[in-house]
Amino acid sequence: MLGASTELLAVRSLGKLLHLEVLSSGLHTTSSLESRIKRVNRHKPFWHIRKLNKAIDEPITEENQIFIQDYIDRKYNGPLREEFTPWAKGEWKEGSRRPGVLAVKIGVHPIWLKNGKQVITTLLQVQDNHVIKYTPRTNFEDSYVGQKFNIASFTGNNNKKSESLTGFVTVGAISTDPQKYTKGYCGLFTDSGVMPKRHLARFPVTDNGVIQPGTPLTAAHFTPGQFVDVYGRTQERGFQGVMKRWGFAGMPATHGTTKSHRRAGHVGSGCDKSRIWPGQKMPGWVGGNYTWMRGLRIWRINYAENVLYVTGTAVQGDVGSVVQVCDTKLNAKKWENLKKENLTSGPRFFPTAYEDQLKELPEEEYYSVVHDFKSPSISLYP
Amino acid sequence: MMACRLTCLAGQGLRRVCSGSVRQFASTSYLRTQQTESEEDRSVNQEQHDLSRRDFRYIFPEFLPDPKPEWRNKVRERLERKDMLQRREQIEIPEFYVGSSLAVTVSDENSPNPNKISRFVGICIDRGGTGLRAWFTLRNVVEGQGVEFMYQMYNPSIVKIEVLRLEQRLDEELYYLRDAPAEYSTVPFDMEAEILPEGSPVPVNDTVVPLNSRPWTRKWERYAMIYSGYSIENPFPTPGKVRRQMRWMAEGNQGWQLQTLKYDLMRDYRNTVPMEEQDQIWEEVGDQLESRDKQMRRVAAKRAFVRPSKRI
Repeated sequence: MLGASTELLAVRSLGKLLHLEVLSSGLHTTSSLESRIKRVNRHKPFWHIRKLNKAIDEPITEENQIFIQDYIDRKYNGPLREEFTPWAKGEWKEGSRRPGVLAVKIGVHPIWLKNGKQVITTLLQVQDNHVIKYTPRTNFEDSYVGQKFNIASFTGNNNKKSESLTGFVTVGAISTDPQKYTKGYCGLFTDSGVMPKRHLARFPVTDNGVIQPGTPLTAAHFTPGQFVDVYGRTQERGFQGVMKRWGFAGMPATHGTTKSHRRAGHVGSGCDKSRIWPGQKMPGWVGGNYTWMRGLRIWRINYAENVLYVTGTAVQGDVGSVVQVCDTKLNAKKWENLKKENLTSGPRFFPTAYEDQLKELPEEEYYSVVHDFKSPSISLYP
Repeated sequence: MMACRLTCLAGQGLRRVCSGSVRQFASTSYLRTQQTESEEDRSVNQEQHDLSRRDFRYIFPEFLPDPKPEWRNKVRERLERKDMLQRREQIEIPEFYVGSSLAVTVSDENSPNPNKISRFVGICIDRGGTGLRAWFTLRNVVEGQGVEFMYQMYNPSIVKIEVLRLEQRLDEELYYLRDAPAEYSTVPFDMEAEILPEGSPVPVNDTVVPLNSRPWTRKWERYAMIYSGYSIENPFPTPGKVRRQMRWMAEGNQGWQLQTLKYDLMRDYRNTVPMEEQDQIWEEVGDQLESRDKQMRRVAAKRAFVRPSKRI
């Protein structure tokens, strides 16, 4: 009996491994037997279009340069926003998901709360964001990725958890010169009528969270006091030893330890498996992988400069790196559970803040607990 | 090897040792009486005005950003300066130097005072940080116990900063006071503020502090050439100490490297913000700082006038 059950388990696990292998051969270059903890995500997905234009440097005459510039101006002076028939703007309800933004990490500031406590915050500036495209779920089957995987939707077959997600919204940040990019990449922006963007991100949304392509996104997309998740590429730390990479304890500095102060020590056992198992933690490259920082609070928003003040110094990347910022998925920090912050009825502007709403906003807004420098010194006088 | 040795030097609190930028002598206070100017002289005066504002880097050193290029961003620095100016509108953050005696009143929830504030008086032994993270350390000896407090200049819990005695010392850091007799670190808590006449230069207090006998917190005999504010009676009492010093000063070692620091122009360059950017910063914040200072001076003058003199 025992033998049969273990056999069944073996078959099931083998099936899972095979499935993983099918996907991982496309998405990752690491072994499928690697543990979940050690899976690092460093490569761009295979379905990314080749971005940069590596055309041969031909000498172009001045006249032709002017002509090219003129053509670009005409092409990207797209149809006016008024000419687009405006899409319906959804209303928030529990479980809604809307796109996030792409922000640039510009530095770190302290801010102080009204009770005197200090909070170190990272400043994220929302630079030149526009919604580029909306890809409905039904289009997935006909897409390049859908056909390769033979899956009905991007959330996999028979995935009931994400049934409410109706599609992806692609957001772009920081307009650039189209001459630097390939035709295929520039073609992504023709529908929305915006200049090609340097960075792109996609966010899964529910039907009420869809935003019309061409809409600019600003820091007013968020509300002070809410929680966000930040996705970005971590700082490169190079080839690092086992203590920094995996948190090994090392060995004593003195007491007779011979040449083994920061080494791993034991790596494998004898007996049946007299070899080092695959997945053994060893020194290697650290950093440069894409990770999520979840549940960071927004303490303060500067609407004039489009800057978000977000908890902590641990936002991924160096100053100047681009990260994705979206509403958090953590249950305890979702909208419906934010009773203390009075945000149980969702974000202030859903799905985003539009022009007429932006005009009424002040220059800056703080979460109620934050000390405003314009107000006098904190007094704890009871 | 060289690189790691230099970082060791930095760790010993010698970050300010470099050629030219150690301010050994006082400069005139930036406060000067307003003079009427003719239109022809205006352009010349403008230039002089801009040049005179370069002194602001000594009076408001935290307005200059950290020179490390990886951390610099114009938008963030601008937002930071705005916050700093707003805070300066609420509280007077006076001009002070290392060696001045200050009194700081802070909102403290653990204070026995019913108003929940506590006041500390001391000598400023060090100041640093840029932007909103600017800090300074006050030292005093209370009931025989040496006490140091590090304050964040822009922390809104600070209710008041008073300069009791504005003066400068021979060094930019006074950590050797920890190894000096207690009388050199003591500032009475009931000390009254000494107001200097407007426009006068900042006085230099050139006391040379005799250090206690060993053990010390740092190896002060090694840095006697760099710090002029202390004296050691017998720096190398044993032949062993002499040998150690010779080894430390030998070519390639730390002492020898210290002597080369004053010739290291690239190090100076890396540790300073370019003059053009400094001028831009003072252009941005200079007016507001000056007008704020004028306001404060008016308030202080009123107080000084009203206060009755105790002498007959």
